[in-house]
Amino acid sequence: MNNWLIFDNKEIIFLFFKSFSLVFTFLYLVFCVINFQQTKIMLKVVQIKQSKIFVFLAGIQLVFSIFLFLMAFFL
Amino acid sequence: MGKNKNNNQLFLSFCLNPDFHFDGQDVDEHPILLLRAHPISQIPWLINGLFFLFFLFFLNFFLSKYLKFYQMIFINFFGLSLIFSYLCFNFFHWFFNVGIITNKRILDIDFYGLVYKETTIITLDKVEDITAKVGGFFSSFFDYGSIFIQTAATETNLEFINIPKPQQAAKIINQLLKR
Repeated sequence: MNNWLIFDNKEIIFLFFKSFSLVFTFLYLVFCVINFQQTKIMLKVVQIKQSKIFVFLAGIQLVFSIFLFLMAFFL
Repeated sequence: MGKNKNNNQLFLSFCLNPDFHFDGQDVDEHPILLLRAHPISQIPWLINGLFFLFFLFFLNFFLSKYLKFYQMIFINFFGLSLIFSYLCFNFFHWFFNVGIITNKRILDIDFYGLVYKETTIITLDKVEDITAKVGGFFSSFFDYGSIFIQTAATETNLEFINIPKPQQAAKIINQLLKR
């Protein structure tokens, strides 16, 4: 009976993990890109001296999301 | 009004004579009051953030039985990034959803979600009535509430929700109307 199994339990978990991590990190990447653009729009509407802090916070999320997507891709 | 200067503290929710500019500002126009929601009204998303952190921490004990070490590292990185984004997103929305009172106009700038922005502007001469409301235990204790600004019947009304010192804000607007 075991010969008919294409994947064992560990492989199924691995495939499940891989596919979900790719999908969710891609969605997170899209979210971060939109969030970055939205932050720039917000800073255009309310122009403050501390704008670099907000750009930095939005940018760091974008960097994290790219890093996570690559991590999910190569894991 | 001029004596109450705290223009270097833009992270406040009640900022008199703030040192900033906004989109569409006239040359002879200067902001007198900047309003945003009272920090106490932002506690729910901070508590949510803490809850997600605890959830992620306890998830490690459960998932470590089934996943490999590098997969656990990935889940933790991803979870922490999501929590960080959640907190930043809410902080940005608190910071940029503002009410601006200038010597000419009253502006209400709202950002909803990721892509929706709404700006309502009324000139001071169109203001008919101002109502300040404070209701509930927390509102009374921390002195925050809402201001409703009515214009002529067919025109847009403005509302600033959960702002600190609503009575004082209404008083400042009234003083501007009398000028």
